[in-house]
Amino acid sequence: MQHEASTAELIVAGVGGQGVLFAGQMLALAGLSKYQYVSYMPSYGVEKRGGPSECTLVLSDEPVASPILDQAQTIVLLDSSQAKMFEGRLRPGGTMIVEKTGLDFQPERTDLNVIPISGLEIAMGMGGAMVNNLIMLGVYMELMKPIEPDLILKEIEKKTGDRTELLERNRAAFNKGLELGRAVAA
Amino acid sequence: MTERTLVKGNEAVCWGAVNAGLDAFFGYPITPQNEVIEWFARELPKRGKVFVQSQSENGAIMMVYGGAAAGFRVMTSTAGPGWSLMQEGMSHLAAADVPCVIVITQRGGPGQGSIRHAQMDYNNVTRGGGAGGYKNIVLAPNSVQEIHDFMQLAFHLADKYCNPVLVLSDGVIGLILEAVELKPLEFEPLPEKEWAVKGRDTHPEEMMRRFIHSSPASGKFREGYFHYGAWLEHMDQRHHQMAEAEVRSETYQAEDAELMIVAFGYVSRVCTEAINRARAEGLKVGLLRPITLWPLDSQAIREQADKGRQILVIEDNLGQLVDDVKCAVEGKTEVHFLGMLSRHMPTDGGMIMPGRVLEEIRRIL
Amino acid sequence: MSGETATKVRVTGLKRSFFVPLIGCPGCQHPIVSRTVGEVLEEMEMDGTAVVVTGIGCAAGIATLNLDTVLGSHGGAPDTATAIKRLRPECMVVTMQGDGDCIAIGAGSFIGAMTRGENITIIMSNNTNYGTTGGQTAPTTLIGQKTSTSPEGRDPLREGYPVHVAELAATFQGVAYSARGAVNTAANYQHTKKYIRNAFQKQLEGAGLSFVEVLSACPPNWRMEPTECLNWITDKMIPEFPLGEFKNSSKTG
Repeated sequence: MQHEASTAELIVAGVGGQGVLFAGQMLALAGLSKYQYVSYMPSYGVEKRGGPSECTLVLSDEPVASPILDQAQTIVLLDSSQAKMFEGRLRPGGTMIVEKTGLDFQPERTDLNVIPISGLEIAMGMGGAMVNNLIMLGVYMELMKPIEPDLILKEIEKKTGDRTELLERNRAAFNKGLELGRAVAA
Repeated sequence: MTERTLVKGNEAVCWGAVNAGLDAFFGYPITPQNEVIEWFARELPKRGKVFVQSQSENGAIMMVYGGAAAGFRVMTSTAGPGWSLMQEGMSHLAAADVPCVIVITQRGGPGQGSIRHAQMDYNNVTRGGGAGGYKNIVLAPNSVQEIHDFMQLAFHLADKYCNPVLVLSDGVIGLILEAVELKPLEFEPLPEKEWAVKGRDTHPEEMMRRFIHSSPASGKFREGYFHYGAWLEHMDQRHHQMAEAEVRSETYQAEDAELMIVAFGYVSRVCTEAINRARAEGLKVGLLRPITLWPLDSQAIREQADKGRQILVIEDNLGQLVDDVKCAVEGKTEVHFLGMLSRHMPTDGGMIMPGRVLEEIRRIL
Repeated sequence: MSGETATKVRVTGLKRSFFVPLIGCPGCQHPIVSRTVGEVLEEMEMDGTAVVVTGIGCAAGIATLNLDTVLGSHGGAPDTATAIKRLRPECMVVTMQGDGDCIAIGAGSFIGAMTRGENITIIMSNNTNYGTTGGQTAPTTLIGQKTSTSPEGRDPLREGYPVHVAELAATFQGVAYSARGAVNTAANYQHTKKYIRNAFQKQLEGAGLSFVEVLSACPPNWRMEPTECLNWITDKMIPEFPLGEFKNSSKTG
């Protein structure tokens, strides 16, 4: 499948321990086979758990202007309490895919496309909150289609190795995300 | 598409060095470049090369001096307070006419400062922080690919001029991952190091010992230095050769620009994004990016002034490059400045962001 | 003396030559230490593979010998020597340092090399002061000894106690050999030459770091005639800094 846009930008954000960086890395690695230029910028505070965590990805056919973006096309936000903070982090007409649990967000901007997803609830039923990152990534992949989802699955397999239980959980969570994405698009 | 790997900036330092034929790395841990020492510790022994973690940064730089004097391709890597400790060593290396590569991954200073990124070392790398006023080439990459490629260029230039070469990274490009082609580059061949100190048996046709010394007493050049003045002339000549032959810069969207931004390192990437947004609004702005900070492309900067363009210097510090830019334009145009007090947040994770740069462009134009 | 071109002369009984004049004030013993190192290397046929790294100061007297040399920084010679040895293990790598160079400003470098057990030989000339710069207090200055920065004489409350470097070196597992000699009498000279030879032998065997401290006269800064200095070494220095081997092991540990 030829990717649709020549540049895909994504900020994945949440709280340390939610697997924000893992989700970003999967996309970066997968994007390498389809895009000439890929950049991945992690950004985090000192705390490994509990502090804010985000990463910025740019996949492009052209040289990436800046790996640091104050505004990106899309944001996947795993921590609903940060929604207001990230309102300004989207380009005009951008999309925010945000965790629905605990979400209390009245955007001032009228140009945004905000998509709440009950990822956490579903994740709890699939092995725990820790797989929410892949559910939400799946939603993004289905809605924005930067590359074929299979490429993400390949990277997840490579990273998870032969920890079969974990691999199954990860696969199931990502595929669930794709399903949720299709439901949204419909 | 060419074969590419996703590589972290700090690790591109290592890949570039290895592709340049690095013989030894001597270093000491310091944030934000610990990936460098850790990669070398893991990978150099596998490749039959030398790795030593020294007891301090002054230890590391004096080890570099030894390896360099013995004719090998050697390097170290550091940041902030570690770089402060290396100033004496730099002064010796520059004075002794020996080649080496030093990577500095800039962090917030001065003193202990912050372990996060900044661009606060422009002054000391271009002026020489150790005694005596020596000069050395400073390469300023702004992407992971450039870090990799500039490492190889650095080793080549170091050997070409028998002088230390600095590669100036920062805590942003050091920590990002980008798609990189990890390819060894070709350079013009250079003469053998016929001055390397390796024991008299290695140069039996020479009656005298070889002597490397950071003063006129050095017998490194066959013609010798008969007095201090001769040594200074030689040094001055080398500075001029480097300044004339090795200056590098590039422009982006410069053709019809009314305002030219001057920026290097991670900030130049941010500015590229800001320029794209500005151009979409019809604002005529371009970028002049120095690639060598020393020698600085003062001529190219001056040309912008000659074309009647205003200049905006953007750097993540309190004002360093801007002074050199003002010098270069010789008062012919207005030089604006945007620095680290304009970061997007006051904590040490703050950065100069495209939105802020765009604001400044709009204000000026 | 400075500014003249040195002349190469053949010294009776030795195969190769030295440069004369050797540096040093009348009665200075650094040239004796240098020459001894040169002699031993020639006797062992190692002068062709030797690389000398000097510290800074009068103790860098090896500069007069016809051996490939790197003049290091003040205190940094063990680091520079480390790199050369690691990159060219076939070289016989020797540092020539003074007492302040080695154990004041160079303490970190010295301890680092001993910690890592670098296969180099460190020769430290101990003349109890910073001679080149006019005779200031050094770590090895004796209690009561007057120097230009302890004009009342070294007082433990102000300037602490003399450091015993050979004994210190012997405590490191990475050190295979540590000895202290003197060159103020013919007998002491013979012992010292043997210690230096033992030290080089350790390097050849790859046994670990080898260290020799040599007590050395400094007439102008001790404010004594050269012969008085030789007696002072016997009467005052040796009781404080005993001669002998403090460690001699076939491998480190």
